[in-house]
Amino acid sequence: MKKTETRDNLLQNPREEACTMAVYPNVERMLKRMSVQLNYKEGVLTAKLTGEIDHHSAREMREAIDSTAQKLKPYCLRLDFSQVPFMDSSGVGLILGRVRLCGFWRGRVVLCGLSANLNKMVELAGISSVAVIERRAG
Amino acid sequence: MKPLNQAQISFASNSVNEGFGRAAVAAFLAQLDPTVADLSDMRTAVSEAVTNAIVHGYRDSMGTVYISVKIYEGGKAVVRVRDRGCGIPDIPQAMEPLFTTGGEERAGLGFAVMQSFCDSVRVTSAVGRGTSVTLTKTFASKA
Repeated sequence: MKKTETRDNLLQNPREEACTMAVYPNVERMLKRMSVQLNYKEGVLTAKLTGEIDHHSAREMREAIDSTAQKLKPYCLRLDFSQVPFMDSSGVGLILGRVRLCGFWRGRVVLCGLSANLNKMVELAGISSVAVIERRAG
Repeated sequence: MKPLNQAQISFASNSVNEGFGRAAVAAFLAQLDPTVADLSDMRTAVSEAVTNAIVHGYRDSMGTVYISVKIYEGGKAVVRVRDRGCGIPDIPQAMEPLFTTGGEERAGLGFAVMQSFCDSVRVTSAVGRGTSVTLTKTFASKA
């Protein structure tokens, strides 16, 4: 399956559009710099993060994820980094904090869509020992 | 040695300016024609240093973060991030991986990241007077 992740493609994909519409009835609002898009399906909460992650932006993302995760207690929290061009160690704090949170209900955290520079940060922090990292095929 | 080119940037210690600080440094270093990976490494290291200045240096106050960028012969870049904040009482302890005074959401990896993403990191600090972090990295030419 070909994975093109631009926002335009996201909206052209009818299945994804349906999911997005369910969470955000107003798609136009979503297109205006929503830093976290949440999508819940069969026990898996997916948080699609958008934009650079630093100490400043991590707080907003953390609050958005936690308020929903604490209600739903998903067995799997999937953090999608495919729209994150930059992340410093604040992103590591964000990931480790969510691992800790999900640990309260024995949920696990899965990371996907990591670019090369994000991957370098994730490896440096040894995150693979506490979270599952999905590699893109090919 | 005299730098070939240099720039000074200063901005208020608002956390929203972290993005500005690293982007400004990256924009200036673009003249070295760096690889994407090298520039990304420097951007990350600068982000860590600027975040430290804002979160730790100016913990209880607002102030100004000063960045100087110097470019030398052979693609060598020296970035100095300075604050006039509270200072670090114990530098070796502050530089230890996982040590943090920032609470649960901070990973305590700032200096570890700077060290692994740059060629060298030098820290000087005086309690009550401020901290200066000097990051050095040589950018290999793409040719």
